[in-house]
Amino acid sequence: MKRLPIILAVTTALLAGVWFGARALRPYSFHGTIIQSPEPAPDFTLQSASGPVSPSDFRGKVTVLFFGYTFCPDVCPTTLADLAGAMRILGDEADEVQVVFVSVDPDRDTPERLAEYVGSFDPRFVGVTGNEDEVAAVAAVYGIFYEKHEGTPASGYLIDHTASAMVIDREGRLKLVLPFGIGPQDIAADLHELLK
Amino acid sequence: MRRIVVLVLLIGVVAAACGGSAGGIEVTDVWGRPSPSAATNAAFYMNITNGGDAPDQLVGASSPACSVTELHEMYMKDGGVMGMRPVQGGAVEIAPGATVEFKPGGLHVMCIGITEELKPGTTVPLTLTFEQAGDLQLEVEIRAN
Amino acid sequence: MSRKLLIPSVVVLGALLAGLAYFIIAQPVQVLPRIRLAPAFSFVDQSGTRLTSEDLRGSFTLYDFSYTSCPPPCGHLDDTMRTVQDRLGEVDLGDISVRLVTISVDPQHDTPDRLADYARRVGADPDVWTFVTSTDPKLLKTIVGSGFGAYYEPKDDGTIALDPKFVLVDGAGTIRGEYRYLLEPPDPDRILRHLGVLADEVRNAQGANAVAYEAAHLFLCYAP
Ligand SMILES: [Cu+2]
Repeated sequence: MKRLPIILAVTTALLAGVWFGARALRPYSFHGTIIQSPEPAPDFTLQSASGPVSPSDFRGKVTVLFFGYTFCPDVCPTTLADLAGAMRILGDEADEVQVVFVSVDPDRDTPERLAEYVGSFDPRFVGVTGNEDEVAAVAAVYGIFYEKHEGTPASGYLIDHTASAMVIDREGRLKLVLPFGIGPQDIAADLHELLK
Repeated sequence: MRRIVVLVLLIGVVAAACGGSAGGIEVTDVWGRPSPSAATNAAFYMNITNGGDAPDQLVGASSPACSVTELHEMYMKDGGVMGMRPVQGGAVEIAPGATVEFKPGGLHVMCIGITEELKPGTTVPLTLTFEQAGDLQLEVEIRAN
Repeated sequence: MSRKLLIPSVVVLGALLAGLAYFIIAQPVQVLPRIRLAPAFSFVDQSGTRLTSEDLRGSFTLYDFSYTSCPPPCGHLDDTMRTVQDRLGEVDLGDISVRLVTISVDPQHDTPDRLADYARRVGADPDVWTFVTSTDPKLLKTIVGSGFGAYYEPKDDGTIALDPKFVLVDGAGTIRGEYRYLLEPPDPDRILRHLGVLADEVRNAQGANAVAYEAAHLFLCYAP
Protein backbone atom coordinates (compact mmCIF):
# COMPACT_ATOMS: atom_id res chain seq x y z
CA MET A 1 0.00 0.00 0.00
CA LYS A 2 3.03 2.25 0.36
CA ARG A 3 3.18 2.38 -3.38
CA LEU A 4 -0.30 3.83 -3.81
CA PRO A 5 0.81 7.49 -3.94
CA ILE A 6 3.39 6.64 -6.58
CA ILE A 7 0.86 4.78 -8.67
CA LEU A 8 -1.53 7.71 -8.40
CA ALA A 9 1.16 10.19 -9.38
CA VAL A 10 2.28 8.14 -12.38
CA THR A 11 -1.30 7.58 -13.53
CA THR A 12 -2.00 11.30 -13.31
CA ALA A 13 1.15 12.07 -15.27
CA LEU A 14 0.20 9.54 -17.95
CA LEU A 15 -3.31 10.90 -18.28
CA ALA A 16 -1.95 14.43 -18.51
CA GLY A 17 0.48 13.24 -21.18
CA VAL A 18 -2.30 11.67 -23.22
CA TRP A 19 -4.44 14.76 -22.84
CA PHE A 20 -1.69 17.11 -23.97
CA GLY A 21 -0.74 14.72 -26.75
CA ALA A 22 -4.31 14.62 -28.03
CA ARG A 23 -4.47 18.40 -27.88
CA ALA A 24 -1.28 18.73 -29.89
CA LEU A 25 -2.60 16.27 -32.47
CA ARG A 26 -5.87 18.10 -32.81
CA PRO A 27 -5.76 20.34 -35.86
CA TYR A 28 -6.02 24.12 -35.49
CA SER A 29 -9.58 25.16 -36.12
CA PHE A 30 -9.87 28.25 -38.29
CA HIS A 31 -12.34 31.03 -37.65
CA GLY A 32 -12.86 31.47 -41.37
CA THR A 33 -14.10 28.79 -43.78
CA ILE A 34 -11.35 26.67 -45.28
CA ILE A 35 -11.31 26.16 -49.03
CA GLN A 36 -9.15 23.24 -50.14
CA SER A 37 -8.57 24.48 -53.64
CA PRO A 38 -6.23 22.27 -55.63
CA GLU A 39 -5.50 25.07 -58.10
CA PRO A 40 -4.18 28.64 -57.79
CA ALA A 41 -6.63 31.46 -57.01
CA PRO A 42 -7.69 33.40 -60.14
CA ASP A 43 -5.12 36.03 -60.98
CA PHE A 44 -5.91 39.55 -62.18
CA THR A 45 -4.25 42.91 -62.69
CA LEU A 46 -5.73 46.13 -61.37
CA GLN A 47 -4.24 49.59 -60.85
CA SER A 48 -2.83 51.01 -57.63
CA ALA A 49 -1.42 54.52 -57.24
CA SER A 50 2.06 53.09 -57.69
CA GLY A 51 1.35 50.89 -60.70
CA PRO A 52 -0.33 47.61 -61.63
CA VAL A 53 -0.92 45.01 -58.91
CA SER A 54 -1.67 41.27 -59.25
CA PRO A 55 -2.17 38.73 -56.48
CA SER A 56 0.62 36.68 -58.10
CA ASP A 57 3.06 39.52 -57.26
CA PHE A 58 2.69 38.42 -53.64
CA ARG A 59 3.52 34.72 -54.03
CA GLY A 60 5.41 33.74 -50.91
CA LYS A 61 3.27 36.02 -48.76
CA VAL A 62 -0.22 35.48 -47.42
CA THR A 63 -2.57 37.82 -49.29
CA VAL A 64 -5.89 39.13 -47.97
CA LEU A 65 -8.36 40.48 -50.54
CA PHE A 66 -11.20 42.68 -49.40
CA PHE A 67 -13.75 44.35 -51.68
CA GLY A 68 -15.45 47.62 -50.81
CA TYR A 69 -15.53 51.35 -51.50
CA THR A 70 -14.22 54.41 -49.68
CA PHE A 71 -17.66 56.03 -49.52
CA CYS A 72 -18.77 53.23 -47.17
CA PRO A 73 -18.59 54.38 -43.53
CA ASP A 74 -19.33 51.15 -41.67
CA VAL A 75 -18.37 47.74 -43.06
CA CYS A 76 -15.26 48.84 -44.94
CA PRO A 77 -13.54 50.89 -42.21
CA THR A 78 -14.52 48.23 -39.64
CA THR A 79 -12.93 45.45 -41.67
CA LEU A 80 -9.85 47.49 -42.62
CA ALA A 81 -9.39 48.52 -38.97
CA ASP A 82 -9.73 44.86 -37.91
CA LEU A 83 -7.15 43.84 -40.52
CA ALA A 84 -4.83 46.64 -39.37
CA GLY A 85 -5.33 45.42 -35.78
CA ALA A 86 -4.44 41.88 -36.86
CA MET A 87 -1.26 43.24 -38.51
CA ARG A 88 -0.28 44.88 -35.20
CA ILE A 89 -0.91 41.66 -33.28
CA LEU A 90 1.21 39.70 -35.78
CA GLY A 91 4.18 42.03 -35.22
CA ASP A 92 7.14 41.12 -37.42
CA GLU A 93 5.14 38.34 -39.05
CA ALA A 94 2.87 40.99 -40.56
CA ASP A 95 5.56 41.78 -43.14
CA GLU A 96 4.64 38.44 -44.69
CA VAL A 97 1.01 39.50 -45.08
CA GLN A 98 -0.28 41.69 -47.90
CA VAL A 99 -3.71 43.27 -47.61
CA VAL A 100 -5.25 44.33 -50.95
CA PHE A 101 -8.40 46.46 -50.94
CA VAL A 102 -10.32 46.26 -54.22
CA SER A 103 -12.70 49.14 -54.87
CA VAL A 104 -15.97 48.20 -56.55
CA ASP A 105 -16.66 51.92 -57.08
CA PRO A 106 -14.21 52.92 -59.83
CA ASP A 107 -16.27 56.03 -60.65
CA ARG A 108 -15.53 57.64 -57.31
CA ASP A 109 -12.40 55.81 -56.13
CA THR A 110 -9.27 56.70 -58.07
CA PRO A 111 -6.06 54.74 -57.32
CA GLU A 112 -4.64 57.87 -55.61
CA ARG A 113 -7.66 58.26 -53.38
CA LEU A 114 -7.51 54.56 -52.51
CA ALA A 115 -3.82 54.78 -51.61
CA GLU A 116 -4.55 57.59 -49.17
CA TYR A 117 -7.56 55.79 -47.75
CA VAL A 118 -6.03 52.37 -47.09
CA GLY A 119 -2.71 53.92 -46.06
CA SER A 120 -4.32 55.55 -43.07
CA PHE A 121 -5.21 52.11 -41.70
CA ASP A 122 -1.80 50.58 -42.34
CA PRO A 123 0.88 52.00 -44.64
CA ARG A 124 1.51 48.49 -46.02
CA PHE A 125 -2.04 48.09 -47.36
CA VAL A 126 -2.56 48.43 -51.10
CA GLY A 127 -5.71 49.80 -52.76
CA VAL A 128 -6.57 48.88 -56.35
CA THR A 129 -9.29 49.39 -58.90
CA GLY A 130 -9.83 49.34 -62.67
CA ASN A 131 -12.48 50.18 -65.20
CA GLU A 132 -16.01 48.95 -64.64
CA ASP A 133 -15.59 45.77 -66.72
CA GLU A 134 -12.29 44.84 -65.10
CA VAL A 135 -13.66 45.23 -61.58
CA ALA A 136 -16.82 43.28 -62.49
CA ALA A 137 -14.71 40.38 -63.79
CA VAL A 138 -12.45 40.25 -60.72
CA ALA A 139 -15.37 40.41 -58.28
CA ALA A 140 -17.29 37.73 -60.23
CA VAL A 141 -14.54 35.12 -60.08
CA TYR A 142 -14.00 35.71 -56.36
CA GLY A 143 -17.71 35.24 -55.73
CA ILE A 144 -18.12 38.87 -54.68
CA PHE A 145 -21.59 40.14 -55.48
CA TYR A 146 -22.14 43.89 -55.62
CA GLU A 147 -24.75 46.24 -56.97
CA LYS A 148 -25.47 49.94 -56.85
CA HIS A 149 -28.65 51.24 -55.37
CA GLU A 150 -29.94 54.75 -54.94
CA GLY A 151 -29.36 56.35 -51.56
CA THR A 152 -30.72 59.72 -50.48
CA PRO A 153 -29.86 62.94 -52.35
CA ALA A 154 -27.15 63.59 -49.76
CA SER A 155 -25.52 60.18 -49.89
CA GLY A 156 -25.79 59.58 -53.64
CA TYR A 157 -25.67 55.99 -54.82
CA LEU A 158 -24.59 53.27 -52.38
CA ILE A 159 -23.16 49.87 -53.18
CA ASP A 160 -24.20 46.63 -51.52
CA HIS A 161 -21.33 44.18 -51.59
CA THR A 162 -20.18 40.86 -50.16
CA ALA A 163 -18.38 41.75 -46.94
CA SER A 164 -16.21 38.67 -46.48
CA ALA A 165 -12.45 38.75 -47.05
CA MET A 166 -10.54 36.17 -49.08
CA VAL A 167 -7.19 34.82 -47.90
CA ILE A 168 -4.66 33.42 -50.40
CA ASP A 169 -1.82 31.30 -49.02
CA ARG A 170 1.91 31.55 -49.83
CA GLU A 171 1.51 29.14 -52.75
CA GLY A 172 -1.18 31.32 -54.32
CA ARG A 173 -4.16 29.12 -53.46
CA LEU A 174 -7.37 30.51 -52.06
CA LYS A 175 -7.35 29.14 -48.55
CA LEU A 176 -9.81 30.90 -46.33
CA VAL A 177 -12.94 33.04 -46.40
CA LEU A 178 -13.21 35.38 -43.41
CA PRO A 179 -16.76 36.47 -42.58
CA PHE A 180 -17.50 40.09 -41.63
CA GLY A 181 -16.94 41.12 -38.03
CA ILE A 182 -14.76 38.33 -36.62
CA GLY A 183 -12.32 40.82 -35.07
CA PRO A 184 -8.54 41.35 -35.11
CA GLN A 185 -7.65 38.54 -32.64
CA ASP A 186 -9.27 35.80 -34.68
CA ILE A 187 -7.99 37.18 -37.98
CA ALA A 188 -4.45 37.32 -36.57
CA ALA A 189 -4.73 33.72 -35.27
CA ASP A 190 -5.87 32.44 -38.68
CA LEU A 191 -3.15 34.37 -40.54
CA HIS A 192 -0.52 33.18 -38.07
CA GLU A 193 -1.56 29.59 -38.73
CA LEU A 194 -1.25 30.11 -42.50
CA LEU A 195 2.19 31.70 -42.09
CA LYS A 196 3.60 28.64 -40.32
CA MET B 1 -22.12 84.33 -12.09
CA ARG B 2 -21.72 81.40 -9.75
CA ARG B 3 -24.69 79.73 -11.39
CA ILE B 4 -23.06 80.00 -14.79
CA VAL B 5 -19.86 78.46 -13.43
CA VAL B 6 -21.85 75.56 -11.98
CA LEU B 7 -23.70 75.16 -15.28
CA VAL B 8 -20.45 75.13 -17.27
CA LEU B 9 -19.00 72.60 -14.83
CA LEU B 10 -22.09 70.43 -15.16
CA ILE B 11 -21.93 70.51 -18.94
CA GLY B 12 -18.26 69.66 -18.69
CA VAL B 13 -18.96 66.61 -16.53
CA VAL B 14 -21.66 65.39 -18.91
CA ALA B 15 -19.43 65.93 -21.93
CA ALA B 16 -16.50 64.16 -20.27
CA ALA B 17 -18.65 61.10 -19.74
CA CYS B 18 -19.43 61.20 -23.45
CA GLY B 19 -23.03 60.57 -22.76
CA GLY B 20 -26.14 62.34 -21.70
CA SER B 21 -29.69 61.85 -20.61
CA ALA B 22 -33.01 63.60 -20.87
CA GLY B 23 -36.60 62.54 -20.25
CA GLY B 24 -35.69 58.97 -19.36
CA ILE B 25 -33.47 58.58 -22.42
CA GLU B 26 -29.85 57.86 -21.63
CA VAL B 27 -27.12 57.71 -24.24
CA THR B 28 -23.77 56.12 -23.46
CA ASP B 29 -20.63 55.00 -25.21
CA VAL B 30 -20.84 57.47 -28.09
CA TRP B 31 -17.94 56.82 -30.46
CA GLY B 32 -16.65 56.92 -33.99
CA ARG B 33 -13.55 55.92 -35.89
CA PRO B 34 -10.82 58.33 -36.96
CA SER B 35 -11.59 59.39 -40.53
CA PRO B 36 -9.27 57.70 -43.02
CA SER B 37 -7.59 60.14 -45.41
CA ALA B 38 -9.74 60.81 -48.47
CA ALA B 39 -12.84 59.57 -46.66
CA THR B 40 -15.96 61.65 -47.17
CA ASN B 41 -18.25 59.86 -44.74
CA ALA B 42 -18.18 58.55 -41.20
CA ALA B 43 -20.43 56.60 -38.86
CA PHE B 44 -21.16 57.23 -35.18
CA TYR B 45 -22.15 54.52 -32.72
CA MET B 46 -23.74 54.56 -29.23
CA ASN B 47 -26.09 52.82 -26.83
CA ILE B 48 -29.49 54.40 -26.24
CA THR B 49 -31.46 53.31 -23.19
CA ASN B 50 -35.03 54.29 -22.47
CA GLY B 51 -35.28 54.37 -18.66
CA GLY B 52 -38.75 55.92 -18.74
CA ASP B 53 -42.05 54.10 -19.05
CA ALA B 54 -43.23 55.56 -22.32
CA PRO B 55 -41.89 54.64 -25.75
CA ASP B 56 -39.73 57.21 -27.49
CA GLN B 57 -38.23 57.55 -30.94
CA LEU B 58 -34.92 58.81 -32.22
CA VAL B 59 -36.00 60.96 -35.13
CA GLY B 60 -32.88 62.80 -36.17
CA ALA B 61 -29.29 63.78 -35.55
CA SER B 62 -26.99 66.63 -36.44
CA SER B 63 -23.36 67.52 -36.01
CA PRO B 64 -21.19 70.43 -37.10
CA ALA B 65 -18.70 67.78 -38.25
CA CYS B 66 -21.11 66.53 -40.95
CA SER B 67 -22.72 68.30 -43.91
CA VAL B 68 -25.71 65.98 -43.64
CA THR B 69 -26.61 63.46 -40.96
CA GLU B 70 -28.92 60.47 -41.49
CA LEU B 71 -29.99 57.47 -39.41
CA HIS B 72 -28.89 54.31 -41.19
CA GLU B 73 -29.08 50.60 -40.75
CA MET B 74 -26.93 47.90 -42.29
CA TYR B 75 -28.64 44.84 -43.66
CA MET B 76 -27.07 41.54 -44.44
CA LYS B 77 -28.42 39.12 -46.97
CA ASP B 78 -27.96 35.39 -46.74
CA GLY B 79 -24.59 35.09 -48.39
CA GLY B 80 -22.68 37.88 -46.68
CA VAL B 81 -23.71 40.73 -48.99
CA MET B 82 -24.09 43.84 -46.87
CA GLY B 83 -25.58 47.18 -47.64
CA MET B 84 -26.95 50.19 -45.83
CA ARG B 85 -30.10 52.22 -46.08
CA PRO B 86 -31.86 54.97 -44.13
CA VAL B 87 -33.90 53.44 -41.30
CA GLN B 88 -37.50 52.67 -42.19
CA GLY B 89 -39.87 55.47 -41.34
CA GLY B 90 -36.89 57.72 -40.64
CA ALA B 91 -36.98 56.93 -36.91
CA VAL B 92 -35.63 54.36 -34.47
CA GLU B 93 -38.08 53.15 -31.85
CA ILE B 94 -36.72 53.01 -28.27
CA ALA B 95 -39.13 50.92 -26.19
CA PRO B 96 -39.41 51.59 -22.43
CA GLY B 97 -36.73 49.68 -20.57
CA ALA B 98 -34.94 48.75 -23.78
CA THR B 99 -31.41 49.56 -24.91
CA VAL B 100 -30.82 50.02 -28.62
CA GLU B 101 -27.25 49.47 -29.71
CA PHE B 102 -25.79 51.40 -32.63
CA LYS B 103 -22.75 49.37 -33.66
CA PRO B 104 -20.71 48.33 -36.72
CA GLY B 105 -22.74 46.08 -38.96
CA GLY B 106 -25.98 47.32 -37.39
CA LEU B 107 -27.39 50.80 -36.84
CA HIS B 108 -25.30 53.96 -37.21
CA VAL B 109 -25.63 57.69 -37.36
CA MET B 110 -24.37 58.33 -40.88
CA CYS B 111 -22.23 61.43 -41.16
CA ILE B 112 -22.23 62.40 -44.84
CA GLY B 113 -19.62 64.89 -46.01
CA ILE B 114 -17.33 65.25 -43.02
CA THR B 115 -16.33 68.88 -42.59
CA GLU B 116 -13.22 68.24 -40.54
CA GLU B 117 -10.77 65.40 -40.02
CA LEU B 118 -11.86 63.16 -37.14
CA LYS B 119 -8.68 62.70 -35.13
CA PRO B 120 -8.18 59.95 -32.57
CA GLY B 121 -8.44 61.21 -29.00
CA THR B 122 -10.65 64.17 -29.89
CA THR B 123 -14.40 64.58 -29.64
CA VAL B 124 -17.00 66.07 -31.96
CA PRO B 125 -20.40 67.41 -30.90
CA LEU B 126 -23.52 65.47 -31.85
CA THR B 127 -27.16 66.35 -31.24
CA LEU B 128 -29.69 63.54 -31.14
CA THR B 129 -33.34 64.52 -31.47
CA PHE B 130 -35.97 62.39 -29.76
CA GLU B 131 -39.67 62.74 -30.33
CA GLN B 132 -40.46 62.90 -26.61
CA ALA B 133 -37.19 63.67 -24.87
CA GLY B 134 -36.26 66.42 -27.32
CA ASP B 135 -32.68 67.35 -28.16
CA LEU B 136 -29.74 65.72 -26.44
CA GLN B 137 -26.26 67.25 -26.77
CA LEU B 138 -23.50 64.67 -26.84
CA GLU B 139 -19.82 64.40 -27.62
CA VAL B 140 -18.59 61.66 -29.95
CA GLU B 141 -15.32 60.18 -28.79
CA ILE B 142 -13.04 59.44 -31.73
CA ARG B 143 -11.30 56.21 -30.81
CA ALA B 144 -8.04 55.06 -32.31
CA ASN B 145 -8.43 51.94 -34.44
CA MET C 1 7.32 1.35 -14.28
CA SER C 2 5.17 -1.41 -12.92
CA ARG C 3 3.32 -3.73 -15.27
CA LYS C 4 0.07 -2.70 -13.65
CA LEU C 5 0.52 0.77 -15.17
CA LEU C 6 2.05 -0.27 -18.42
CA ILE C 7 -1.01 -2.22 -19.48
CA PRO C 8 -3.60 0.54 -18.98
CA SER C 9 -1.40 3.15 -20.65
CA VAL C 10 -0.82 0.91 -23.65
CA VAL C 11 -4.56 0.32 -23.83
CA VAL C 12 -5.33 4.05 -23.74
CA LEU C 13 -2.73 4.91 -26.38
CA GLY C 14 -3.76 1.96 -28.50
CA ALA C 15 -7.39 3.06 -28.35
CA LEU C 16 -6.43 6.58 -29.44
CA LEU C 17 -4.40 5.33 -32.38
CA ALA C 18 -7.08 2.82 -33.33
CA GLY C 19 -9.64 5.63 -33.28
CA LEU C 20 -7.50 7.77 -35.56
CA ALA C 21 -6.83 4.84 -37.91
CA TYR C 22 -10.56 4.02 -37.99
CA PHE C 23 -11.31 7.62 -38.89
CA ILE C 24 -8.80 7.66 -41.72
CA ILE C 25 -9.42 4.18 -43.12
CA ALA C 26 -13.09 3.52 -42.51
CA GLN C 27 -14.09 7.18 -43.00
CA PRO C 28 -17.18 7.17 -40.80
CA VAL C 29 -17.82 10.74 -41.95
CA GLN C 30 -17.66 11.55 -45.64
CA VAL C 31 -17.74 14.99 -47.16
CA LEU C 32 -17.45 16.75 -50.48
CA PRO C 33 -14.34 18.90 -50.95
CA ARG C 34 -14.58 22.68 -50.83
CA ILE C 35 -13.05 23.15 -54.24
CA ARG C 36 -13.40 26.84 -55.09
CA LEU C 37 -15.69 29.78 -54.60
CA ALA C 38 -18.52 29.83 -57.07
CA PRO C 39 -18.59 33.03 -59.12
CA ALA C 40 -21.03 35.86 -58.40
CA PHE C 41 -23.45 36.72 -61.22
CA SER C 42 -26.59 38.52 -62.23
CA PHE C 43 -28.35 36.75 -65.10
CA VAL C 44 -31.75 36.91 -66.79
CA ASP C 45 -33.97 33.82 -66.70
CA GLN C 46 -36.50 32.40 -69.18
CA SER C 47 -39.28 34.62 -67.84
CA GLY C 48 -37.12 37.75 -68.16
CA THR C 49 -36.58 38.03 -64.38
CA ARG C 50 -33.21 38.59 -62.82
CA LEU C 51 -31.49 35.64 -61.16
CA THR C 52 -28.39 36.39 -59.08
CA SER C 53 -25.93 34.19 -57.28
CA GLU C 54 -27.33 35.70 -54.07
CA ASP C 55 -30.84 34.42 -54.84
CA LEU C 56 -29.41 30.89 -54.70
CA ARG C 57 -27.73 31.24 -51.30
CA GLY C 58 -28.99 28.63 -48.90
CA SER C 59 -29.94 26.23 -51.70
CA PHE C 60 -27.84 23.56 -53.35
CA THR C 61 -27.48 24.43 -57.02
CA LEU C 62 -26.48 22.18 -59.89
CA TYR C 63 -25.25 24.08 -62.96
CA ASP C 64 -24.64 23.03 -66.51
CA PHE C 65 -23.64 25.02 -69.58
CA SER C 66 -25.38 24.67 -72.89
CA TYR C 67 -27.38 26.55 -75.57
CA THR C 68 -30.73 25.95 -77.20
CA SER C 69 -29.48 25.17 -80.72
CA CYS C 70 -26.86 22.77 -79.47
CA PRO C 71 -26.53 19.55 -81.52
CA PRO C 72 -26.96 16.10 -79.89
CA PRO C 73 -24.16 15.84 -77.30
CA CYS C 74 -26.03 18.50 -75.31
CA GLY C 75 -29.00 16.15 -75.13
CA HIS C 76 -26.98 14.15 -72.63
CA LEU C 77 -26.68 17.22 -70.43
CA ASP C 78 -30.42 17.92 -70.54
CA ASP C 79 -31.25 14.27 -69.87
CA THR C 80 -29.04 14.26 -66.80
CA MET C 81 -30.49 17.48 -65.47
CA ARG C 82 -34.01 16.14 -65.95
CA THR C 83 -33.14 12.85 -64.28
CA VAL C 84 -31.77 14.73 -61.28
CA GLN C 85 -34.88 16.94 -61.24
CA ASP C 86 -37.26 13.98 -61.40
CA ARG C 87 -35.45 11.93 -58.77
CA LEU C 88 -34.83 14.64 -56.15
CA GLY C 89 -37.51 12.98 -54.01
CA GLU C 90 -35.19 10.02 -53.47
CA VAL C 91 -32.67 12.17 -51.58
CA ASP C 92 -33.15 13.03 -47.92
CA LEU C 93 -32.65 16.79 -48.17
CA GLY C 94 -34.52 17.91 -45.06
CA ASP C 95 -35.70 21.45 -45.69
CA ILE C 96 -32.91 22.37 -48.10
CA SER C 97 -34.05 23.24 -51.58
CA VAL C 98 -32.20 22.16 -54.69
CA ARG C 99 -32.10 24.33 -57.80
CA LEU C 100 -30.94 23.39 -61.27
CA VAL C 101 -29.57 26.16 -63.45
CA THR C 102 -28.64 25.81 -67.11
CA ILE C 103 -26.51 28.73 -68.26
CA SER C 104 -26.79 29.46 -71.96
CA VAL C 105 -23.44 30.30 -73.52
CA ASP C 106 -25.15 31.75 -76.61
CA PRO C 107 -26.46 35.10 -75.37
CA GLN C 108 -26.81 36.45 -78.94
CA HIS C 109 -29.51 33.96 -79.87
CA ASP C 110 -30.92 32.67 -76.59
CA THR C 111 -33.49 35.27 -75.64
CA PRO C 112 -35.72 34.62 -72.62
CA ASP C 113 -38.53 33.54 -75.00
CA ARG C 114 -36.33 31.02 -76.69
CA LEU C 115 -35.14 29.73 -73.33
CA ALA C 116 -38.74 29.39 -72.12
CA ASP C 117 -39.58 27.39 -75.23
CA TYR C 118 -36.60 25.16 -74.70
CA ALA C 119 -37.36 24.67 -71.02
CA ARG C 120 -40.84 23.36 -71.92
CA ARG C 121 -39.38 21.06 -74.55
CA VAL C 122 -36.94 19.36 -72.17
CA GLY C 123 -39.54 18.98 -69.44
CA ALA C 124 -38.15 21.48 -66.94
CA ASP C 125 -40.16 22.10 -63.78
CA PRO C 126 -40.05 25.92 -63.54
CA ASP C 127 -39.86 25.79 -59.73
CA VAL C 128 -36.69 23.71 -59.84
CA TRP C 129 -34.91 24.14 -63.16
CA THR C 130 -34.11 27.60 -64.48
CA PHE C 131 -32.53 28.63 -67.78
CA VAL C 132 -30.49 31.82 -67.77
CA THR C 133 -28.28 33.95 -69.93
CA SER C 134 -26.43 37.22 -69.69
CA THR C 135 -26.68 40.58 -71.40
CA ASP C 136 -22.90 40.93 -71.16
CA PRO C 137 -21.20 38.24 -73.30
CA LYS C 138 -17.70 39.14 -72.10
CA LEU C 139 -18.58 38.89 -68.42
CA LEU C 140 -20.50 35.67 -69.15
CA LYS C 141 -17.32 34.15 -70.57
CA THR C 142 -15.40 35.14 -67.40
CA ILE C 143 -18.10 33.75 -65.11
CA VAL C 144 -18.50 30.43 -66.94
CA GLY C 145 -14.86 30.03 -67.99
CA SER C 146 -12.84 31.26 -65.02
CA GLY C 147 -15.57 31.04 -62.39
CA PHE C 148 -17.14 27.64 -63.12
CA GLY C 149 -14.12 26.32 -65.04
CA ALA C 150 -16.30 25.38 -68.03
CA TYR C 151 -14.77 26.58 -71.28
CA TYR C 152 -16.60 27.25 -74.53
CA GLU C 153 -15.60 28.62 -77.87
CA PRO C 154 -17.78 29.56 -80.89
CA LYS C 155 -16.78 27.54 -83.94
CA ASP C 156 -16.79 28.59 -87.61
CA ASP C 157 -19.88 26.51 -88.41
CA GLY C 158 -21.97 28.55 -85.98
CA THR C 159 -22.00 25.91 -83.25
CA ILE C 160 -20.21 26.33 -79.94
CA ALA C 161 -17.58 23.92 -78.67
CA LEU C 162 -18.37 23.26 -75.02
CA ASP C 163 -17.24 21.47 -71.97
CA PRO C 164 -19.82 18.81 -70.96
CA LYS C 165 -19.70 19.63 -67.30
CA PHE C 166 -21.90 19.91 -64.21
CA VAL C 167 -20.98 21.99 -61.18
CA LEU C 168 -22.51 21.52 -57.73
CA VAL C 169 -22.53 24.57 -55.43
CA ASP C 170 -23.52 24.53 -51.76
CA GLY C 171 -25.64 27.05 -49.88
CA ALA C 172 -22.62 29.13 -48.92
CA GLY C 173 -21.56 29.62 -52.53
CA THR C 174 -18.69 27.13 -52.56
CA ILE C 175 -18.14 24.69 -55.42
CA ARG C 176 -18.39 21.18 -53.93
CA GLY C 177 -18.54 18.97 -56.99
CA GLU C 178 -17.38 19.10 -60.61
CA TYR C 179 -18.53 16.37 -63.01
CA ARG C 180 -16.99 16.29 -66.45
CA TYR C 181 -18.15 13.68 -68.93
CA LEU C 182 -16.05 13.75 -72.05
CA LEU C 183 -16.24 10.10 -73.07
CA GLU C 184 -18.55 8.21 -70.74
CA PRO C 185 -22.20 9.18 -70.28
CA PRO C 186 -23.05 11.39 -67.29
CA ASP C 187 -23.83 9.71 -64.00
CA PRO C 188 -26.91 11.24 -62.33
CA ASP C 189 -26.74 8.63 -59.51
CA ARG C 190 -23.46 10.08 -58.34
CA ILE C 191 -24.80 13.64 -58.40
CA LEU C 192 -27.89 12.60 -56.43
CA ARG C 193 -25.72 10.75 -53.91
CA HIS C 194 -23.55 13.84 -53.50
CA LEU C 195 -26.60 16.01 -52.83
CA GLY C 196 -27.37 13.64 -49.96
CA VAL C 197 -23.81 13.91 -48.61
CA LEU C 198 -24.05 17.72 -48.66
CA ALA C 199 -27.40 17.66 -46.89
CA ASP C 200 -25.97 15.32 -44.24
CA GLU C 201 -23.15 17.75 -43.56
CA VAL C 202 -25.52 20.71 -43.18
CA ARG C 203 -27.70 18.67 -40.82
CA ASN C 204 -24.99 17.03 -38.74
CA ALA C 205 -21.97 19.34 -38.64
CA GLN C 206 -22.92 21.03 -35.39
CA GLY C 207 -21.33 21.09 -31.96
CA ALA C 208 -18.91 18.22 -31.36
CA ASN C 209 -19.79 16.74 -34.74
CA ALA C 210 -18.47 19.88 -36.43
CA VAL C 211 -14.97 18.80 -35.34
CA ALA C 212 -15.48 15.38 -36.92
CA TYR C 213 -16.61 17.04 -40.14
CA GLU C 214 -13.63 19.41 -40.18
CA ALA C 215 -11.38 16.38 -39.58
CA ALA C 216 -13.05 14.63 -42.52
CA HIS C 217 -12.16 17.66 -44.68
CA LEU C 218 -8.62 17.67 -43.33
CA PHE C 219 -8.07 13.95 -43.96
CA LEU C 220 -9.73 14.24 -47.38
CA CYS C 221 -12.47 11.74 -46.55
CA TYR C 222 -14.24 12.52 -49.81
CA ALA C 223 -17.37 10.71 -50.89
CA PRO C 224 -16.75 8.67 -54.06
CU1 LIG D 1 -24.63 54.75 -43.61
